[in-house]
Amino acid sequence: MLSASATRLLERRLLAALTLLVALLVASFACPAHAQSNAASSSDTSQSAGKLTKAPQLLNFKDVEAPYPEAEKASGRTAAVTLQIAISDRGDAVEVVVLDSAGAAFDAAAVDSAKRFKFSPAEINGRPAPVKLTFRYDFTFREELVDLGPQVNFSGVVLDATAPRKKPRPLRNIKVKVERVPGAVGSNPVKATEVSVADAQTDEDGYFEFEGLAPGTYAVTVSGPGLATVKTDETIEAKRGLEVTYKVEPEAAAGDGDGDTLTIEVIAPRIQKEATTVAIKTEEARRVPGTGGEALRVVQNLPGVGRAAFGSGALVVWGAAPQDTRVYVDGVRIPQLYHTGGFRATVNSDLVRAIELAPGGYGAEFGRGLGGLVTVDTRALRGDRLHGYVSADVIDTSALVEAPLGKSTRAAISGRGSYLKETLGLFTKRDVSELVPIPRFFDGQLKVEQDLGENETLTLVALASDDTLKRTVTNPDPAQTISDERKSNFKRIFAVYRKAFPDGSSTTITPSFGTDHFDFAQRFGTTPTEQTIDATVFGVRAKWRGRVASMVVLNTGLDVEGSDNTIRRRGATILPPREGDITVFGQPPNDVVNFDNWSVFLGSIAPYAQADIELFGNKVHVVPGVRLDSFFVSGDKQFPTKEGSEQRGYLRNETVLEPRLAARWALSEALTLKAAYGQYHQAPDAEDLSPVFGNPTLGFAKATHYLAGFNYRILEKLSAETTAFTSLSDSLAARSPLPSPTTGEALLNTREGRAYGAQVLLRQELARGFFGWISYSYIKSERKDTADGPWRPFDYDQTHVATLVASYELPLGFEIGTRLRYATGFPRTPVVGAYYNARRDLFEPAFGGQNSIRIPAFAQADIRAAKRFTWERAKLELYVDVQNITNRQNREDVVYNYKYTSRNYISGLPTLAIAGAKLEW
Amino acid sequence: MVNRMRLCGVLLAGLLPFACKPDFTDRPSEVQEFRVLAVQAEPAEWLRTVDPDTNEAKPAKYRALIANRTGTVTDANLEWAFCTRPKPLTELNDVGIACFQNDPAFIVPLGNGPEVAGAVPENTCRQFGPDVPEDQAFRPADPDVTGGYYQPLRVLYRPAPEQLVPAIAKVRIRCGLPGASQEQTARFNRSYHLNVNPRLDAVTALLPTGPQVIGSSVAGAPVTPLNLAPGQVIVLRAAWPSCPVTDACGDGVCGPSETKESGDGQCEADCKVEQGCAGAERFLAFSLESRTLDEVREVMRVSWFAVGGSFRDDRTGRDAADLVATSENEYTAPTASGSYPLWVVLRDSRGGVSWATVEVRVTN
Repeated sequence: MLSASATRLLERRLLAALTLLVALLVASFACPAHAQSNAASSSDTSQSAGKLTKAPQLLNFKDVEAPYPEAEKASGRTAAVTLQIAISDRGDAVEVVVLDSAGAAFDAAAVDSAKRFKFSPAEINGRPAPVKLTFRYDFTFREELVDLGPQVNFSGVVLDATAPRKKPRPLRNIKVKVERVPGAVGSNPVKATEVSVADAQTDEDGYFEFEGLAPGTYAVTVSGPGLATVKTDETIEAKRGLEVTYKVEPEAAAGDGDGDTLTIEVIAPRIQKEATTVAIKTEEARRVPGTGGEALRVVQNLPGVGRAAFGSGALVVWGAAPQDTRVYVDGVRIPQLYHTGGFRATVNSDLVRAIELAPGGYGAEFGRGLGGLVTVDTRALRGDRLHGYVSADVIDTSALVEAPLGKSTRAAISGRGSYLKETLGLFTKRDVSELVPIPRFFDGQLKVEQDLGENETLTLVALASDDTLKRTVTNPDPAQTISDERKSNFKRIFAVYRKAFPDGSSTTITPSFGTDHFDFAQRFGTTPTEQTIDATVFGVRAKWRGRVASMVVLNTGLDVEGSDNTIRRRGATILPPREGDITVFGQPPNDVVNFDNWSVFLGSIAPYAQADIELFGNKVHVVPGVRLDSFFVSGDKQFPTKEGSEQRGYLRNETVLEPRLAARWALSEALTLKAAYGQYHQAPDAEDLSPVFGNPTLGFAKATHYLAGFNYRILEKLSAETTAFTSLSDSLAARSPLPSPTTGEALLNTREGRAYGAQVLLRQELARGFFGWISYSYIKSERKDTADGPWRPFDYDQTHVATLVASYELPLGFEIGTRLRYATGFPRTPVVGAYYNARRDLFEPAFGGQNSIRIPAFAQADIRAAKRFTWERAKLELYVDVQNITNRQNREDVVYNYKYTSRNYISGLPTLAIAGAKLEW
Repeated sequence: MVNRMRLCGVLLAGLLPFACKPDFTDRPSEVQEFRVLAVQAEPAEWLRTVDPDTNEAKPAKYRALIANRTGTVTDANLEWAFCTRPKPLTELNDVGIACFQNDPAFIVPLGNGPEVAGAVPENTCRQFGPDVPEDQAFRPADPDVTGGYYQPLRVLYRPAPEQLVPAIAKVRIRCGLPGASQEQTARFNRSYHLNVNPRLDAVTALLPTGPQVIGSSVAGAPVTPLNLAPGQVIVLRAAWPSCPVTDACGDGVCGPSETKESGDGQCEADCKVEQGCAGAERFLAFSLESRTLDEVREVMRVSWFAVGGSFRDDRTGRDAADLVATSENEYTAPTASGSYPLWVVLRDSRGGVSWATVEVRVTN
């Protein structure tokens, strides 16, 4: 064993070694790959017969463009069909031949579309002539669980047409300008907040996007250094998005180098484009009733997620403990997704592009958690002009300002502050916080994007969140005077460096730093329960992704996390309660106390690799992965403090190999099967490593996930998904059952867990103003506290969880939606008797079978109505979100009379309306 | 990484009072059935002393206040037993449920009757205190907020063959200090004085005609029944002795800076035979946080019980910083004529207790 000072020294050396290792890996990842020199082949039989003086131009693509094949939507895969099109001297496509197949469905769609192409006739030596050309028809399908960004309705990528098809080279810093064609067919008057002229630059991935384009036909101009300016037309339809790929040829790659851009255009189609109409889900999440307009809260309504207990934002995913589900923002872990009470997220929804929930079986890129995975991606900032919003309701006010800072820099800043206590004060003269705890929260975000060079950007993000909850309940009995003060805040600052290489590969490096603070101070009479945690956290995430073989895409990298925790705790060993503790709501705390302060360093270095192997013509994807996680745990105390005794520190290391495997098989055009398996490990919590309150020798908990299911695309925007799963966990921390535990072993790794079930999702994506879903989850989650003990229901177990969400846009800017929820009540342990504690003058309960009864089932209906006003440069939304519209008395917990002879329930909120407004510009 | 989600789960549980908590009609101050209202040990804090004549530990006496709708049950045949099984950490109550399971391995009978006498088990400071032998690696028990340790004492009352009224009392035991230095332990041993039961000097009714003493825990004190009109509202006051806030040798109280031993603080007048204070005493307690011996003061609580009528508050009291030696409550007399018993129980935060019984007569 090591002394505390020796342990600290080891920590420093360990950190230095870590830093060096990371630097080496980062350097190796940052080495650019060699550019491909192969030029794209094209076939133009007419060129040998004379000089092509006018290239054929595709005139009607939008009218005949191929939709993404219905049969392939379940797979969601990207595909490309290379066609050879023979064009008559009148511009008709007279023959279409598939040169490179992407599967029957894609081939058929591409051929069907191409046969209806109409070109302007090509001319050879000044006369109309038949020609042949190759045309690559790409199909992409983007489906994210929830897409929260601004309403992008035209986006795409610009690629180098000379690069090999299988190794596309994105072109960055290409200017894409759109200008609405006046009077074109389908052009309606431009609304106040819509855009008719705009431009954008491609990012390192060649990606560009426009938001809020008014429906109509647009002239699209693509230009940039070393690039011939090319033009085409696109049509934006109402409530539909357009996603395109433009392939352009840099001037340097032109065949004869004479700079004749016209000639270049003729050699091959200068703009190859593939179009897939994707549903715009941008505002769906905000429109879900019951979320109060907080888009990130939609996660709580997804299949596999249990209903959060009242006033809680806890995510219970597939029967895992809330703390076992990890939340990452741009790859950086944050400690909490929601503010106290679950009313709001800690990250501004307007800065979020997408949020994904992986209930289990996720890949090797992430780990260290036994439960689900929530990843939040911030969106790219807009560089065209000043944007922003101000939003206010009875709970809080938030605002965001976003603006370009020069040509290559964009910035956004946002913040939120709550004032629920003041709002309630308008309705009562009493200090409401004496009666109920009123949460107060703030958060702020800053994001700066800097273009560093070609295909290279640096993004700086800062996040801060602060929560406070105070309550004091006075009582003539000093033993029943209660004070409760809880504070939590976290800060994160991180940079995201991205570089894309000409071969299509990319590297992302994300160093992060931050602090966590949690202060819990409760006093019940003279009995304190206090815990303060201060942690300094850091991490580095570096990854490389690229195609390493014709059928293999490799994603590999290094994930490093560390936290240095200083913890102070005072109170009873058994408080606050843990999962598995048997207690009842309102039971006065035990009045024994102890004290400890301790420091713990938790670190982990995890290299990982994951390959996406495409088999059988892309019908089967097998994704094996492996993650080698090396955990370090170091603490300053192995035994409780004793005067005159030298304290001894410790350092432990455990390295675990975590295999992961996922597979997807497109069984038919509509049906895709999927399966996944993964092993996961989780380090003990720093607060559990106290020699007084926990156990410094706690080991690592382990879980294994198995899942299988299928996706079925019923209609274009109607799909069904079913997943069955099992999660087995062991070595979970539990209280020692011994009447006289060994010193420093108040907690032991004795608990086992198992969860199994299935979830079904029937989802209608946004179409004609309507979206919604029905989800049902059957989940059984159980725990066994000792090897010989019986299985019992998990404290958060909810066997049945069903949710219906529907939202519909009405004319005149009105919108209405509803949410219906049903969930099995949480398990509780019944009180079967009581005895009088004469010292404390109170009754104490005697319990029956652990978690053998349940709170009655929860059912609730919520509605949301909104009205939008639009002006030239602004938009105003007024909304009201009414929760529990039927005023149902939902039971939230069991409560007993003072002598435990009578049982009743605490009811949830009655009908509650939250009105608010949001002004955007 | 701080496991914030779990902590937040704890935090969010505090929001539950946002919801609607049901009101139960029964109150702790109402006596509607057989109840144990208090258990007193004399002395209030146990320190094992051996009688040189018998070479056995001197016994302590235990008695209980039993009540029902007809008044105090004076001849209750109570079953007394010590429970020797420590509570596992998996149980959140004050004592383990095993104390009620009649396993002879953990139950040490003391006898039956309204009062019993007996010595606390010899190894009590090992089982329920910090005195873990050096060769054993067991986790020492945690003290309560006053630094005290307690031996569970089970009390069972069977008013009828099929009826059981269970209760647990905890006898404060004098044990060592966990984690303290030798100097601190020596000072504690010299200057910590055993708790004494508080004394309810008087229960006084503040009538329009003037105050009337209606009860006391002092045996033989003159008390008179309280006559009230139906539904009459009065204020009752419980009073206990005021204890000195500073030590002065010769003031009749052996304070925390005084000792019978020679050296600093020696005060034979107050400490040769330790003179306690029957009010809110000051005493030494070892702070596990600062690792110092601190002088703290007892919290006093008053529990009010009635068969008829109702109290404004079920319990009242004074916290440690409040030097007032009285506590008041409002009592509303029953609307029906008759004789109604009241009980007033005074507790200090070190486990000391005393009580007084009051008779209320309601007449038109």
